[in-house]
Amino acid sequence: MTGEIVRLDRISKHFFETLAADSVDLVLRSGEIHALLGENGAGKSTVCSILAGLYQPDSGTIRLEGRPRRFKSPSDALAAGIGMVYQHFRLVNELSVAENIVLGHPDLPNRVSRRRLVEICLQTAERFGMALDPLAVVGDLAVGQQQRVEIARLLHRGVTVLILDEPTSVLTPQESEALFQNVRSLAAAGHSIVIVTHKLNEVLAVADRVTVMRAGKVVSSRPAAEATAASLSSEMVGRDLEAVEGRPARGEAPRVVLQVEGMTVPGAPRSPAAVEDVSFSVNRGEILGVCGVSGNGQSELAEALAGMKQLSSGSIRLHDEDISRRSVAYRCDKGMSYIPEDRMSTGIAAGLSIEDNLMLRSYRDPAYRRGPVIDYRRSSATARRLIREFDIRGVRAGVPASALSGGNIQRAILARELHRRPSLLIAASPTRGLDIGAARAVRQAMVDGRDDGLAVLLISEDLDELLSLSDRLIVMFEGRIVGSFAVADASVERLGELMAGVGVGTEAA
Amino acid sequence: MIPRITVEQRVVPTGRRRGTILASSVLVGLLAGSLPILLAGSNPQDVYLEVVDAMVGSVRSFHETLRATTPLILTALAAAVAFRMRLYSIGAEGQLYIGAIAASGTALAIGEGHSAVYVVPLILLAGAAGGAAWALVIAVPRAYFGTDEVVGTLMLNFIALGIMNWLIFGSVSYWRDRQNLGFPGGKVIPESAQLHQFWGRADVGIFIAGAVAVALWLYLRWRPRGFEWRVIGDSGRAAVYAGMNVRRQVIVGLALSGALAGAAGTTQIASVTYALEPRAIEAGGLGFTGIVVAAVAGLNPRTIVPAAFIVAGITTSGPSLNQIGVSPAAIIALEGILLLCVAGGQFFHHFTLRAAPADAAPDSAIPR
Repeated sequence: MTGEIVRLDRISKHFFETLAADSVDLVLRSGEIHALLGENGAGKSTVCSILAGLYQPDSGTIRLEGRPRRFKSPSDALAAGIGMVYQHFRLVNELSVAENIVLGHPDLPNRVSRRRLVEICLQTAERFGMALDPLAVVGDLAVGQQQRVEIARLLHRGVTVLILDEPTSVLTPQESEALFQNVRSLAAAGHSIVIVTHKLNEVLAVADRVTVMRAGKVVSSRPAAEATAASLSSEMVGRDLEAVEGRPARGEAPRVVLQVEGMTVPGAPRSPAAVEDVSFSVNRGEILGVCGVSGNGQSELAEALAGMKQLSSGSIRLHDEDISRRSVAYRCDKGMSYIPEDRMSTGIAAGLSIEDNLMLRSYRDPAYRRGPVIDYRRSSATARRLIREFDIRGVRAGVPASALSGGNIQRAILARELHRRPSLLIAASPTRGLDIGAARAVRQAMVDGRDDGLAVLLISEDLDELLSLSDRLIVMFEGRIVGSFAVADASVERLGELMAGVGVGTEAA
Repeated sequence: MIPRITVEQRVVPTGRRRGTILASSVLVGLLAGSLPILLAGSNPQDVYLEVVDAMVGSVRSFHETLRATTPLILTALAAAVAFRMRLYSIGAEGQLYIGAIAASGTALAIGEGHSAVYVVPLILLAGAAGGAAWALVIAVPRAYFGTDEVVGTLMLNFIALGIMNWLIFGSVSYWRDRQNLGFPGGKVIPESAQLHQFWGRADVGIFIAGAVAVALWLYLRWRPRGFEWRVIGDSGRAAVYAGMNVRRQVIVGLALSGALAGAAGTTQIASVTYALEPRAIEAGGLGFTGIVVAAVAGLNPRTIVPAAFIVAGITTSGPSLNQIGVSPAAIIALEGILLLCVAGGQFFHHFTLRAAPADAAPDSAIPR
């Protein structure tokens, strides 16, 4: 390991009121594989995007080989030798591998023969030890191969610092292994590589140095050899277990509301199942927390339960009735309520009024009919009551729901879902992105519902929230349930490890 | 310091400004429309007065305008129904032809000696059914496989035109008048299927179209299906989440749109051509003009009625303008400019312009 190539010095960046990066210091040496570890929203991607020129820092300096630099755009950073592979590739699916690799290169002549393109592509492939098929159409390639094209494209541009944002999140274990081999040989050739990740086992397998971020700050930075899974996971999660409020022990025997058995939900085409062979149950008067880093099948789990995604196998029973083939409307009318993760485009019809949105899931109810027509007088009376009871602010006549703040929209969704007196609530990241007041209101409503006998499935990335609200917890990793605890038996360290896939036999899968 | 103009989204999209925006758009349209008239060597003021005169200047011209309004209302409603669900069907043209074929065929099959009281409703139903069936050809693959409805409906227009032409010009079909040895034409439909017997040249068609517009407005406003269509038009995912059967609604919506266009084909047969006359039925371009009328009326069935009347009026004033020496091309240009201005003015229902100081931070500009 030789000299320092990049040094970030007290970099800070705000997005509105959120401090996404808070005085971040980071040193990157040439030939080093540097892992940037942290939970979702810890600021990893922000720091990398600043380094790659996508964002400008509010304060702090970037030094490249000792000289302070300002990157006005990603092409500025690219010209200085810093390139980033985003989670969503910047490739043209319709073009060939060779075309994608040369695309945007400043030295590319206006006309170039196909043979020359292939030559360039093969040279790049050989130089960096990557297998590439120059004439294959990028859209036809597997995700791992596409990622290789993206990396080759940056290397062809002469990048010496390569940033990989969650590179293995879309890869199979075999593809990940191939990627790591490539990365190791690039580092051996003097490239510096930053891997943004939340998977501990990867960090320990491939990185030379590990920097842990939490809530926008750097928590620690040390050689990977000195790190252990346990120390990293507690730094990443970084919380002391708060005392969970005691709840009255319920004397009655648990009554199962939702029973899921062997549920498998298909993923995107050409990728593994999003949810695989999952079984669990939720009882009356209980909150079952689902923890996991986002993208490990939780969204698909929620959508499949709500009826918006088809199962490929398994069953869902609601009050002992198999509803796995039933429509969304049927499940809704049978007492299932659902707070979708994507509140702006699924949870509400953003262009319609709040009144309309409050009756989105109950317009079928005969109570809102007068003869053959909708009883709008009645529905707007209900809407007024809900707006008052759930403290939905900013509602004006004729104003579409999209004009409201996220917190008020979530209050409206909550009001709509809970006022129908459901027996089951599926809440997918219900407090994500909300201000403190709204988040508290959402949590309180779930706890109150639970105390009234509601069964709640709470999917969240916020461990604090899960630990303080849930009665039981299950952990999801790569579509499977890898752990199941009563909340009193759960330790943050163990949860963190499971969320990061440590000690989970994924290779065997 | 030169102020920079930025575009900002209005929080409240509509309101009292609607009238002001419409009036200014029309004014701008009339001013801009003066240009082709001046180029054609006429005085814009004379031309505009002549248009008004030809539109409502006499009972006869008023009736003529009403008769031209009827099919436009129906095709505009057809476009509005589909567009409100964000289904960009441009197939009203072809659905109208198929409606005309079905209506004239039904009328011919019924024959003479029946009462108009049931013949007219029957041929309206036949036309609507024909248009709906033609729309279903696209609606079903659209609902199940997400096939592009724009291309599909456009292509079916040409096929429908081909069928209509073939029936009269390419074959000795049931529709063709075999007695006529001159230029091929369609058999004249029985008296009982003709609308002119009710209210002079304006005939009963305008009442039918008006009633359909009101009925559709009430339906969309009050029926649960109207609510479903509003949600689907806003967000398909929210509609699925709400438990709506989006597939079925796409099929029903496109079929209704086709039925309305097919009914327009019926009124063309029953009140204008009285026979399947491909040239005359095609000439109006009613399906496409209907889209423009619907757009200008903000896809609102109530507003479509006056909008269709005005567009029909400008179109029917063509011959009398020709008499005062204005070429038909100038009138078409004027109509286009006017509609463009009114449609363009709707931008201001949702957005407003604001002058920002030149040194304002670039972040303050609303991204496109």
